[in-house]
Amino acid sequence: MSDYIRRLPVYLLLDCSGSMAGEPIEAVKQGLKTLLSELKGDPQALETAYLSIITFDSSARQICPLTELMVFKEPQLSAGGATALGGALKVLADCIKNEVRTSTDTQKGDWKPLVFLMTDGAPTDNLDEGIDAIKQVSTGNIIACGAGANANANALKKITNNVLMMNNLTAGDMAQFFAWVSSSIQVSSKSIDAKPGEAIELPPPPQGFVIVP
Amino acid sequence: MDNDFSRNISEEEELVIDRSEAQLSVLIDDEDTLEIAQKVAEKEKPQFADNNGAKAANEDENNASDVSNASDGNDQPGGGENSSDEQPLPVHLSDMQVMEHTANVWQYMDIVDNGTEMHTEFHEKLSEMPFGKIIGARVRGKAHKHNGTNCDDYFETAYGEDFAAVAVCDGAGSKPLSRIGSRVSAESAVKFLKDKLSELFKDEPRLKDGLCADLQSAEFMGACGKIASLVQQSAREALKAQNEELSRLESDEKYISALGRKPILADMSTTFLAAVVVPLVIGGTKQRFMVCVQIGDGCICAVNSKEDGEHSVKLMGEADSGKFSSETDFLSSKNTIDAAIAAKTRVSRGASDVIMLMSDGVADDYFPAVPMMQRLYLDLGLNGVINMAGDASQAEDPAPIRFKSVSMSKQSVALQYAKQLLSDSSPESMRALWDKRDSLKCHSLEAFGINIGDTSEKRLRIWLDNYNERTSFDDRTLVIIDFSNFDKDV
Repeated sequence: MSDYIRRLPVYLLLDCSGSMAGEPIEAVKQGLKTLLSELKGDPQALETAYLSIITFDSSARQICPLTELMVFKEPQLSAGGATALGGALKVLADCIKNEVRTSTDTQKGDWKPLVFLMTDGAPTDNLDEGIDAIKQVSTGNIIACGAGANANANALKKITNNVLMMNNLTAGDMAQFFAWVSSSIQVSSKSIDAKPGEAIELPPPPQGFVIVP
Repeated sequence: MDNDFSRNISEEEELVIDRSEAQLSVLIDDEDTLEIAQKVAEKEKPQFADNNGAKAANEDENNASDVSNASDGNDQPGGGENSSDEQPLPVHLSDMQVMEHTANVWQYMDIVDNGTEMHTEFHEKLSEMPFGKIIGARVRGKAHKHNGTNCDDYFETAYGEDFAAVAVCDGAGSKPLSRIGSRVSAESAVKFLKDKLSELFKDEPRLKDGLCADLQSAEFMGACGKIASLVQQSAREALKAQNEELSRLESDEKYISALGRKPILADMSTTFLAAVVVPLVIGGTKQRFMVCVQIGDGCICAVNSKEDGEHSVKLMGEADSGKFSSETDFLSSKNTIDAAIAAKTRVSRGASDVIMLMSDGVADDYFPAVPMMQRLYLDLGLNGVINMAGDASQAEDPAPIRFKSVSMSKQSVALQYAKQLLSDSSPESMRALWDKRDSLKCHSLEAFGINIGDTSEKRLRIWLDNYNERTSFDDRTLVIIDFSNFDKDV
């Protein structure tokens, strides 16, 4: 029994800059915990979804490689530094290139990756370089969430059409965001009719979140 | 079989025929001359290209010994819960270990009744024909079981003195009444085929002679065109039946309230796979003439168990083909127009002994269809659905595998997987296993003294309902037209 299965790769890009210190980063940690426990109770997600986490502050790195949900370990998160969002996108592009399988005649490729980006500030590095990098790889839905008053909706809009704004950086809002990420992953892993590469319809975002047109 | 290869291949180069009379553009590929089918296919896309270069590497090498240890490994995931300050080491679980775990997470829920038509949990059907048998079954997929929703697949079969007719339909998971679309489509198409074919064979006693004639002859083309146009027409009949059903449901309060609006035709979207098979005797050899139409995904294939290598599997349709590919997902008025349906029609004559039609819930587990339909054939043999050559008096490991049941009966069933006998997922490995197909019965359920059902159709249904593949949650339908017991004497 050694086939490749068709995986749903899920990348979380999390802002860990200095402004996230304190309650916000604690809320992110709690949100991740809830997300994992929900997904681990969903057999379709367990068989299908693989999760990776990329964090960014003054630089960006993949702290969890694309991993089977069952063995996914919560990473240690801490906040400090600037907002290297452009760098995070470059890391994302590299990870997708290295980790996501494409279809061949003999092998079903992975589904197009689902990307969730959460940031509370404006990029402090070269965002355009990052945007160029992700244009070189195939992604499915990219959902960017700007959290709090200092998030820059215009910058996020350059990355993707799917931009949500969360007004406050409270634990409650963050919990709602992660709950929505969780149900989006579950919906995606259940779309047994959808063909790989097709955009998947995600559930409506939580109340109080503004969709940037 | 040697004389099968004596046919002059070159004279059959012209394979795509345009019949203005029946408005067909039918791809003829005689089973003796699969090379030609390859040439034709290569013109469109190189899907039959030699895969030697694309050997899939295996990350998680999970051979038979891993499988037997899987229950030990099941504890491993628990270790993942411990948080650690260190960078997490990449832990690789085998698919088997993941399935052992998820088998306990999947739930079995009864179908929620909202007043609209409900489909039975499963269905099985056997037809003993004078020239072969039809074994068919469908089961509700795990995703539907977990969520308490209906099975959307449906199949119907019929036969006459001279033919077998089968339709398999897979209702779109995202459409609320697709199970009704799949039911009326399969039922109406097969009823139409049965009526019209019975008439045709009665009215034209020389039709079979035409089907036996030289592939290039006008006689053959005429007979072929008559049957092919009926199969194509059956797709339109299916669509007509959907429309008739819709006109009944439109004014039905139960449906309006369940949907929150008036039902529309798209609510019944379904794939459509149909096949008509006619048994023939040509030059002292039993053969089959078949016409297939495939709209949407799933698979229709013919397996010749006497043939070595990839030539033993012949695909009789494509999930999407040609210029109409964007419209091929579901049966529609667009893809049943003459030019569109002609591109989805396949005609074949040859000595295949097992013909199978299946929804994608089965087909996806045997990808790529060439050569993996050989593995499906072996799985059916190993689990006692069809005959398997060889000796079952001595059982040989690997032992059959048992998962926690996600079925109505809650009964866990041990099943054998040909996959266990493969060293990896490469075409070479499949080829090597196929070469040994007559000596694999020692691995069968029978060899292990396991009987999963009294009849072949029940065994098919129980196998469909219980075999476990990672990320395989869809409804499963498989209809097998099995001639293997009828080829011995002519």
